[in-house]
Amino acid sequence: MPVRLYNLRECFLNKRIIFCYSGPMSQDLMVEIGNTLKQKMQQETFNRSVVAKTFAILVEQVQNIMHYSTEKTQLEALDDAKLGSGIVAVGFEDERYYVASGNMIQVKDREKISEKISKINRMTPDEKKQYYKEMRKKNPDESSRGAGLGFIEMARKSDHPVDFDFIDVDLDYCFFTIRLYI
Amino acid sequence: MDDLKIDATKFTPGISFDYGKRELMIKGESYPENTSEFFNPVFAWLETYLAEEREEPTVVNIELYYFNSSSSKVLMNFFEVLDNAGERGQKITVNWIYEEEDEDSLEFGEEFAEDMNHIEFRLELKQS
Repeated sequence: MPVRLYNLRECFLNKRIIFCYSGPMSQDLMVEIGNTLKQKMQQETFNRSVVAKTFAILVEQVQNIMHYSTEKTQLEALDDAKLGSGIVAVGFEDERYYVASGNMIQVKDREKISEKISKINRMTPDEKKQYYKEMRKKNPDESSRGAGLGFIEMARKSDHPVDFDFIDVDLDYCFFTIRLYI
Repeated sequence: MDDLKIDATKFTPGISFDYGKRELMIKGESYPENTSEFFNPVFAWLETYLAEEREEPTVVNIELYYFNSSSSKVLMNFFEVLDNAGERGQKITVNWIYEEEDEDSLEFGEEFAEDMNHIEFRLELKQS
């Protein structure tokens, strides 16, 4: 086992993944991870805006997993709170930082998510701004546990299209991955 | 009416609403897991406060270094409540305080300002 962890670590280093976590996500965990990452990035880059955007995208992705992952862990110690599980990584590629994450979703939600992101990817920056302002005034969908603004919020902080895909797991579930470059 | 004071944490802002001075302040970072739960007492206080008639102006200082998308929505609701009170005749000034070089915060402030019609919404560079 220790040997395999070494290999996993090597894989991260080769791919320039500076941070990766897989498992149940909690608010406390996210706050600590986010702040440590922020401090590490502040040492590596002087661009305050890049650090702030990376932090913001990380928060949106982890909170999406907390709210929407279909894979849950129930914790007695946290008043039986159900924590959503998933994986989140921050890496460096083509001279840019990115935040990527993945979690299980129901197959029936796949089309809706895909349409939502594709629609955002077709927008100009100005259209994104208008859409964001419009959505912010609307009441979120019933299926949404947050404000329903996560994807557009992230997309506005990136000047690349949102990268995403789905991997079939079984008849009911698939694995959703999303990546944003900063 | 009592003042409302909530201490800041790593992921929720400090709230300080001073009834006598008519000064409302929200300062810090806002990215709780359940945003509406955190802001419920804030809206409850504001509703009671704005239900009273007053001639004197109210100043609202917002100094947020980071907020997540669900907090952004809550802030929009918060400003809409203020704007509605402005329409009914209350004099309200919001100071959106941003730090130098924080373009994201300035842009957020500008976008909130665009949607306000009955209150004064100022963008203020933080004095260091």
